[in-house]
Amino acid sequence: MRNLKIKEKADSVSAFGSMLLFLIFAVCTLLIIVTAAGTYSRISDDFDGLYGGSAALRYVSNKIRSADSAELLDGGNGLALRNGGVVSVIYFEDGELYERSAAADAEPERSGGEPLFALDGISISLEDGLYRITAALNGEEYSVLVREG
Amino acid sequence: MIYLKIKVSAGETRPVNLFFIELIISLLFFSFSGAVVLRVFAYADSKARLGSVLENATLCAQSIAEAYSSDGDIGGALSVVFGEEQAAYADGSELTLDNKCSVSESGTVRLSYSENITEYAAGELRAVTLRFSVSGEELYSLTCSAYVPEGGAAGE
Repeated sequence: MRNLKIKEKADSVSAFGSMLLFLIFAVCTLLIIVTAAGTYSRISDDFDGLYGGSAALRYVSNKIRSADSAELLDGGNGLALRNGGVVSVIYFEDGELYERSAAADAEPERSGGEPLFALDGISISLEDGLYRITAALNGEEYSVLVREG
Repeated sequence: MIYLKIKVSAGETRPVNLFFIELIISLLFFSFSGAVVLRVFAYADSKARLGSVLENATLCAQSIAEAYSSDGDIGGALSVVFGEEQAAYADGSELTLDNKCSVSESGTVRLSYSENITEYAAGELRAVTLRFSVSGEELYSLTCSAYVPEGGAAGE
């Protein structure tokens, strides 16, 4: 009878130990998953912001370099780039950067363009022969300088 | 449940629960796997940070190169990119930047630059090498040059 009680107690302790170990394992696994998900999410957001912003900057700066002439539109919210017989208008509207190409003699219009990049905003200014292009995305600002001409 | 009996001391035996042993082994295995996974994520995070610094460094180097190529003045180029007040923090030929390439005394990115001037009869060819490094390891470097017609022998 006494041995049976001891055995039952040993079984209970063993079962409790097993469950405790499993609980520790489950908690550790959950912590790892939460940490990993947080890290992955942060890496992904950083990449989207950084490469989205810098890709837009590089695109606009390369367009300025390759153009024969550039003209600022609407106080820096857009840019008209003339190259040969084509004028390309790059402008920002409703969270997107658009580009519209037309014949060089056409009036540069800020409508009907193809969406290029999703951005929070873009501003282009000309200071001392250098264009300063600033793009904002996900609360961060990225800027680059491009020489005029 | 399966029990084994182990000898604890002379004449005394105690049952061992195989399920318990299996659970401990599983726990050890999963702990090891968890440690490996965390290590991999920490490495990925550090690589992502370095990638972000590299991307900002290339944009910063491009801006300095564009400003430098217009007049061949490295001090002026740094002032245009970082602002006059910030560029004044340049210690000799070095600047300390943060991860977003803004001047910061507590930053981890070091921008060092060296200028080489070659004089010709009609002017000067100025070249500057920009080096971005993190923890002593070079991350990115760029050499750009500017021809200054008024300088050199022509200017004397």
